[in-house]
Amino acid sequence: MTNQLMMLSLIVIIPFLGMLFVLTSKDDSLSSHNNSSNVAVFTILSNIIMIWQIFAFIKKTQNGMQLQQTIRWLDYLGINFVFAVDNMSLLLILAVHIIILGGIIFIRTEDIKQKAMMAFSLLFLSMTTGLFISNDIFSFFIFYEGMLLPLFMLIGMHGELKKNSLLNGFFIYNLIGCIIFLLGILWVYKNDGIVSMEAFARLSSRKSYIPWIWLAFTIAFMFRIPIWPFHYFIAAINTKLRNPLVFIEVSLLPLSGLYALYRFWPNYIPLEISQHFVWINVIGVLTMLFISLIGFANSDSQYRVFAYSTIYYIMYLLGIFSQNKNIFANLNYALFGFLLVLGGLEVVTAYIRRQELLHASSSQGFLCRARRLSLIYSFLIFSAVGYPISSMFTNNFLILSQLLSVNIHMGAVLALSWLLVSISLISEMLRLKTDNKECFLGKSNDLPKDCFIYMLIIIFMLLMSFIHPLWFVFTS
Amino acid sequence: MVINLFIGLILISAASMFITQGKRRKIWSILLLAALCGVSWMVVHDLHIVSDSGFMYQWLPYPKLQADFNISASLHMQQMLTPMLYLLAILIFFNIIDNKESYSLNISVLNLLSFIMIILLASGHDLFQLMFASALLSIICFYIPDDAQSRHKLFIYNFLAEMACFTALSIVYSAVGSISLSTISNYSAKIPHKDFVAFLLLFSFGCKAGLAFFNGHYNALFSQPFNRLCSVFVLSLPFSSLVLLAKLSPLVSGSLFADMVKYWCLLSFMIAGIHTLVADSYRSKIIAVAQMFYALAFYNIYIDASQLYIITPKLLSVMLMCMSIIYYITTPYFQKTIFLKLFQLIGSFIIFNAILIFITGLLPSQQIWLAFFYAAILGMLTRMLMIDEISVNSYFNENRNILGAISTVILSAAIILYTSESRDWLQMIKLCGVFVLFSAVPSNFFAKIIKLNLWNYNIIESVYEKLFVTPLKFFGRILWLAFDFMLIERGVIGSAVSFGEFTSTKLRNLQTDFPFSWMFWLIFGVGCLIVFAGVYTYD
Repeated sequence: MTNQLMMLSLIVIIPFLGMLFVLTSKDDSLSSHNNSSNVAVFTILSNIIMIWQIFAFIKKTQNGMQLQQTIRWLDYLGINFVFAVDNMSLLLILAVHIIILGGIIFIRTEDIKQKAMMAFSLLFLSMTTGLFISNDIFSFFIFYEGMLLPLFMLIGMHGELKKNSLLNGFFIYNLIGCIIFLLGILWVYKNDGIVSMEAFARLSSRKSYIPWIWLAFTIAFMFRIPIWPFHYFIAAINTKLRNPLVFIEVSLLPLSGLYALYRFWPNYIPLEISQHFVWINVIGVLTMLFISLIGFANSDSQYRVFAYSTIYYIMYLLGIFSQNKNIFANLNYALFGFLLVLGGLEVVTAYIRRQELLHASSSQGFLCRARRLSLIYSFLIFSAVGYPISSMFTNNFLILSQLLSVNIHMGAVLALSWLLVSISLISEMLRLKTDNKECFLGKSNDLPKDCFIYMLIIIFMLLMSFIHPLWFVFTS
Repeated sequence: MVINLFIGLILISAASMFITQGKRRKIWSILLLAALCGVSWMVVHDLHIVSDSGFMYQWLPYPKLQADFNISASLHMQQMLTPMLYLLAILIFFNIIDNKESYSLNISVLNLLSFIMIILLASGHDLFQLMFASALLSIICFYIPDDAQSRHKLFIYNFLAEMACFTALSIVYSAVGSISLSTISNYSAKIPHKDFVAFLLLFSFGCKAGLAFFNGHYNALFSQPFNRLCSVFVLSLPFSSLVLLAKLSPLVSGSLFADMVKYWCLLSFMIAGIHTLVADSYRSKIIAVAQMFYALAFYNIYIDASQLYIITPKLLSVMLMCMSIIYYITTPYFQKTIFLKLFQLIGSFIIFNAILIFITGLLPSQQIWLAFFYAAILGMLTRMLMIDEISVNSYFNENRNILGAISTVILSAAIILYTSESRDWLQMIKLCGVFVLFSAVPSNFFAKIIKLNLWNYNIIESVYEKLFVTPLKFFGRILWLAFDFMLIERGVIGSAVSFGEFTSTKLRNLQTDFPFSWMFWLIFGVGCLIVFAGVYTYD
C-alpha cells in the first residue's frame, strides 16, 4: 500500500526532476542538438508508465478520491499536502502528458533554443499534475497558481508575441483571479477551519458568507475559461501563438479552471442560487456563438483551432452548471478525447503552417501529395467534428442530449455554434485537399516517421476509447 | 446469412485495400468481382432456409448508455439485400469496363464498403448503430467523386444532414433515456419538441435523398463519370436516407410536417423530371433521373416503412437501368454502330429482366418489367424518328441522342407509376401514345429554356447567403465592436492601462526624494495638526 501511495507524489516529482536534468544537459551545437528534448521525452514517457500503473489500483466502482497520501507541511496550522486521485484526475493527467509529449516531438526538429522550453514545459507538467491530484484547498491553490509561472516564461520567450503589454495584461489579469481565490480560501479557513475539498463541498449555504465564497471561487475559476467577459486575454494570446507546444500548454489553462469548478462544486446548491445559473447559460451560448462566427469568418487556421477549443470548453462549463449527474459521470471521458484531438490538431496544423513558411509555398493542395499527413489530418478533423470514429461522438451525444433537456433553446444555439466551428474546420481540410499549382510542397515535406508513429498511437487511442473508455486499464 | 455476408465483404475489402496501389488493377478488379460473386452465391442459396440470423455485441459500455453492435436481419431484409448484391456486382462491372477510369479498384472497394455500411444501417436496432453507419457512409461517399468542388459540396451538405440527425436524436434520447429503436417507437408520441425533431429528421433525410431545394450537392456531380455517379446514387448516401426514414418513421409521422412531405416529394419529382428535359448533358440527366426515383421512393417509404424491403430493390434496379440507357445511347460511338448497339441493348434488357424476374420472384404475369421493356423499344424508335426532325438545329445536333432518351425515361417512370397494379394494355398504349407526342414537341421550346441556364443557378444557396450568412457576419461584427472592443478593450483594459500609466508616471513620484525633504514633512505635520485640532474640537 505504501508503494502505491508514493506513486502520487512521484508523478509530480518525476517531471520536476526531468526539468533539473534538462537544465544540466548539454544542448549546444557541439553536442546533440536534441539532448534536452530527448530528456523531456524520456521523462514524460516514464511518467506515463507510472500513471498507467496507478490506474490498476483505482477501483472503478468506487466514487470519490482514492489512494490518499498526506505530506506534512504546516502541521501546527493543520495545513498539509494531501494527494488523492480518481478516474477523472488520472485521465486528465494522462491526456495532458500525451499532448505535451506530442508537442515536444513535433517541436524537437525546429531550430530554436530548446533547453529553456523543455525545462519550463516539464515544470508546467509537474505543476499541472500536482493540480489534478491535490485533495486539499491549499495545495490546490499552490499548484493552480504555480502552473502560471512556467507558462508566462514560455509565452514570453517562445510565444512570438509582438506586444509585451499583452503578456503584462495577462499577468495582471491572472493575478486578480489569484487574489480572489486566495482571499476566499483564507476566509473559509479562518471561519470554518476547512482544509479538505470534501469538507468544502459539504458547506451549507445557511451561513451568510458561503454564497459569497462560492461566487468568489466561481469568478476566480472563470478567469481562466474563455467565456465573456473573461475571454479577452486568453483569446488574444492563443490566437497569436505560433509555437504548438506553447499553444497546447496555454490551452490547458481553461482545463484547470473547469477542473477547479468541478472539484469545488458544492454537494447541494439551493434553488435561490441555482436559478441564477441561467445567466451563465445565456452568456456561455452567446460567447460560443460569437467565437464560432469569428472562427467561421476567419481564414487563419490557428484561430479556427482556438475557436474549436473555446466552444468545447464552454460546452463542458455549461455541462457543469447544469448539475446533471450523467454529464458529471461522462465529463472525464469527454475531456480525455477532446484533449487528444485538440493536441493532435494543433501540432498537425502548426506543422503545415511551418512547411508553408519554410518553403514559401501555399499549403492549398498539400494533403493531395502528403499521404501520411492527409490520413492523420482527415482523421483528426472527422473526430473533432464529432464523427463516430472516436469517443468525441459518444460524449458529445450525451452532453448535448442532457443540455437539450435542460433548455432546448440553449441546446439549439450550442448545436449551431458547434456546427459553425465544425464547418470552419472542415473547410480548412477541404482547402488543403484541393489541388493547387502554387503549392510546391510534396511528398518530401510529409510528416516525419516519428511524428507519424506518434499520431498513429493517438488515433489508436481515440478509436479504442470509442469502444471502451478505459480500454488500457488492466486491474490485477 | 447476413453475418456471413458481412464478414465476407469485410475480408474482400481489407484484402483489396492492400493491393490498390499495385499494378494490373483491372485484373485485381476482376478478381474482386469474382470473389464478390462467390461470396454472394454462397450466402444467397440460404435465403429461404435461414429465417433469421443474429449477431449482437455490447460495444459501448458507457455510464448510462448501452449500445449494441447488431447484425441481424428479418427475412424481408435478407430479400432486400440479395438483389442489391447483384446491383453491387453491376457497379463493379461498370468500374471495370470504363476505359478512362484509372482508380476502378479503389471505387470498387468504396462500393463494397458502402454496401457493408448499408448492412449495418439496415440491421441496426439502436440509434448509435444508425448514426455510426450513416456517418461512415458520408465519409466513404466523400472519396467517390474525383472533383474537389463536388467533394466539398457533397461533404458539407451531408455534414449538415448528419448534424441535424444527431441533434434530433439527442433530443429523443434525453426524453426517452434509451437509444433502442423499439423503446423510441413506443414513446414516440410522448417526446417533447416532437415537431422540431421531425423537422430536423426530415431535413436530414431529404438532404441525403436529394429532394427539392436540398440537392445542390448532387447537382454539383455533373462532372463525374458514369461509374462514379452510379456508385453515389445506387448504394450510397441517398439510399441510406431511405433506410433511416424507414427505421425512424415513428419520429416523423404524426408531426406538423406530415402533409408537407407529400408535396415536397411531388415537387421534387416534378422538378427532377423537368430537369431531365432541359439538362444539357447526359450526366445531369442521370442525376435528375436518380432524383426522380428517390423522390418516389421517399414518399412510398414515408407512407409505409415496410415498403423499404419491397419497393427499394425494384426502384433501384429500374433507376440503374434508366441511367444505363441514357449513358449508352449518348456515347459518341453509338451512332456509328446503332443497329449493333440496338440489338445489344435489347439483349441486355432481356438479360436484365430475366435476372430480376428470377431474383425478385416475380411471376411472368407481372407485366411491369415487360412494360418497361416495351417502353425502352418505343423510346428507341421515337429517338430514331426525332433524328430527322431536329438535325437541322445545330445545338441539338450534338444532343439528339440525349433528347431521344427523354421518352424512355418518362415512359419508364409513368408506366411504373400507373401500371404497377394494372394489366390494362389499352391504357398502356394510350399512355405511350401521349408520350410519343410529348417527345415530338418542337425543340425550340426546350432550347429557350436551356438558354436561360436556370439550372446552374442555385437559388437556395444565394437565398441562404443573403438570409443567414450575411446577417450573421454583420451580427458577429457588431458583437465584436460593441461588446468586445468598446466594452472590454476600451473600457476595462483601457482603464487598466490608464491605471498602469498613472502608477508608472504620477505615483512614481513617490520614489523621488520629495518625501525626504523638509517641505514634505512640514506639510505632513501641518496636516496632522489640523486633523488633531478638528478631532479635539468636535469630539
